[in-house]
Amino acid sequence: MIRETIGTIIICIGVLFVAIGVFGLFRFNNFFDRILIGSKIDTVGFITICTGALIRSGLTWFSLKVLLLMAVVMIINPVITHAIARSAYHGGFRLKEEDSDASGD
Amino acid sequence: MIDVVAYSLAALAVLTSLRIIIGPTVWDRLLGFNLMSSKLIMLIVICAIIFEKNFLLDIALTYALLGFVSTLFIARFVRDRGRI
Repeated sequence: MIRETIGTIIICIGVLFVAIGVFGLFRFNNFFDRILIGSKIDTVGFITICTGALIRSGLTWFSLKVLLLMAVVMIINPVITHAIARSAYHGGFRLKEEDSDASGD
Repeated sequence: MIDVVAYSLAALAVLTSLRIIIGPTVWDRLLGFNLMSSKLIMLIVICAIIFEKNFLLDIALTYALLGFVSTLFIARFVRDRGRI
């Protein structure tokens, strides 16, 4: 019972991280700031939520599958972010165009 | 308590999909799609905790791998301006 309470508290902390990431997604004006903040905080939130699920369920097949999912997402999520940022940089997107748009802030 | 977590994750996924609608460039929309699919994977994990079913985690793993392949090749497709 005490294990379920600790796991739920850690899952709530992970949701708080994800909420901060969504706030940062609308706060910044540059594309590269947005991709940095959104992707980094999202990965941290996923790791925290999966740790809460691991603590909550003990040592079963469920926790083994959660561990596999956590390992896969920890590899995949930075690779996707790097692919999108590289596609934007080599595709002709520069920082100056958007700075002139967002000169009001 | 865990139900509130599921509802708030669904609300955050809806808020993230606003970035797909109002994104100025195509890469913003791609970023919004990536983050929204990540939040849906978290929601599937929470649903697997609530209903105590193991096969929902297999669905989450498949969804993560399919999203990885599709986002990677859409990014390459946009970078090369339509030439495959």
